[in-house]
Amino acid sequence: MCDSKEMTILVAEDDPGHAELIVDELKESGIHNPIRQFCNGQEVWDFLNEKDSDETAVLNYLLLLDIKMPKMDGIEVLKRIKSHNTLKKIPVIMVSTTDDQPEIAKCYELGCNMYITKPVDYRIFAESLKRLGLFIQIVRV
Amino acid sequence: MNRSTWGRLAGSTCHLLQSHHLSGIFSYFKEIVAIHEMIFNEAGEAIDYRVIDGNSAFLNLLGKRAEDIRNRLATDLYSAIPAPYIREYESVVHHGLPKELTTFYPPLDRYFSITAIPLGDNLFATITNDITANRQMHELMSARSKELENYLYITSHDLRTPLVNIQGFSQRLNKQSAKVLELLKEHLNSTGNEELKKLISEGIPKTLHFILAGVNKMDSLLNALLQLSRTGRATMSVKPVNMNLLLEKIVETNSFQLSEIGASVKIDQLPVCYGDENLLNQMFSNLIGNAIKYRNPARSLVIEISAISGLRKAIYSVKDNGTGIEKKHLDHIWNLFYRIDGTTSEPGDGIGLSVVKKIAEKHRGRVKVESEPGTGSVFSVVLQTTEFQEP
Repeated sequence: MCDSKEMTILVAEDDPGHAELIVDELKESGIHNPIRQFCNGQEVWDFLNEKDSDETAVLNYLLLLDIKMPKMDGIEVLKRIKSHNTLKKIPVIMVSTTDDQPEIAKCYELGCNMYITKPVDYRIFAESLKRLGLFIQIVRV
Repeated sequence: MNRSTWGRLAGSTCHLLQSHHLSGIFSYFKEIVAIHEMIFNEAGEAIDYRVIDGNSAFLNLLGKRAEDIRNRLATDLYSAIPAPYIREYESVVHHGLPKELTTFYPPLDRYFSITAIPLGDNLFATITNDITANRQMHELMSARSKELENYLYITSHDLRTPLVNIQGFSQRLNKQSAKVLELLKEHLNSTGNEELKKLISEGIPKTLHFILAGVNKMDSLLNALLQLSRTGRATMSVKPVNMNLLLEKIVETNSFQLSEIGASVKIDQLPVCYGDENLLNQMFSNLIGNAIKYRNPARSLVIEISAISGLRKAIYSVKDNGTGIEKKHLDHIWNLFYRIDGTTSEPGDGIGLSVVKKIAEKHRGRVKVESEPGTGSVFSVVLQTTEFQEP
């Protein structure tokens, strides 16, 4: 893909604790890419919407998207990204508190690349993020 | 009852009606009773019906006197064209078989349950119950129950958010204290500060262990609540379900465990019932799972599945020869998180039977249990054998 530029991980998460845990665990699993945080769906959408013409920049993003967020929820952000000509190329990983089957099905239908449940068992969470790290490596290659 | 039986009955009813005046017999009935005569055109199509007589409940409903209703045409009496429910009544007269209908009648703003009975010679009787109050109560209950399920879902979902933080940061603290211990290792060895060493290596991890155990417990309770609310909110796809196939499938799924404990399962010929296959699978899986969980270790487990057919309903029973349940627990076992202590070491979330009850209610059914400590239990579920509307 774009080996000249490093991939930036965008994290959209309204709960500061969850955001901290996600970023922390990404770093611990050996992911040293730049990380940019957003605290609601509107913020991350405004950021992406501005970049829509800059295809090179867009191709270097990977988005971790929480579902339940104020102003604009993750589902709406996903819907907008995946129906956008340029932005739809961004890999999107949904991060949710529940494993609600209809919700998971809806996210995949809308075109998300992966769905992770925030488990209370932090070891499983770390494991998911490690696999995610691997995934990011693959995406980068 | 077949057609000829109804014909005979209709004939004798007609006799009865002629010998005793209807209003005399039925005047004390709470039910709204009326007798009508179907009127056909030359082509043999029912075009109207005439009121022959009605009891006092009928007169009260319409706010009329007996002489005001006798011999009146339905189209005139109810000011409605076509006459109310004429197609249904025509079929009753035509086929000579009774029919039941539940209906909302807008002009009176009421719900009625009507049984129409053929009486021969184009005559038919209607026995009507005003079910408006029932219906309204039912709608209210159903709205309340939906609201509760929604609360349940939202709270259990939202409570997980802080829990993820408590767990995540406790884990982090655990790691951090291990790191502190390592950084201070040399210092502790040289100064011999046993108290600090103990605090970091034992005290803090122990504290965190209890926090994490509490979090895990709360997480499993919340997951159980979420599961229950999901069952309640699930959209049903009601179809005829071959119960023998369904139960064989469930036994097959549990076959490894069943053969490992030397259990035998007998399944009788079961009637087909109407329901959502996935939910019914969950229901019987829970019941069979309980039979396995609460088996008597002193004897081989025998599970017997049978059914009794009733009018539009069937009672399906799962009988086991397990430990049984003491009488004092019987009323509580359907409650959320209720667990009978001391009968098993098996883990459980305490929602299995609550889910069974919830699924039965969604199927307009009921649950029942009979049990004898030391002998075993029989869990029964009443299900519909004809099509039904979700409550």
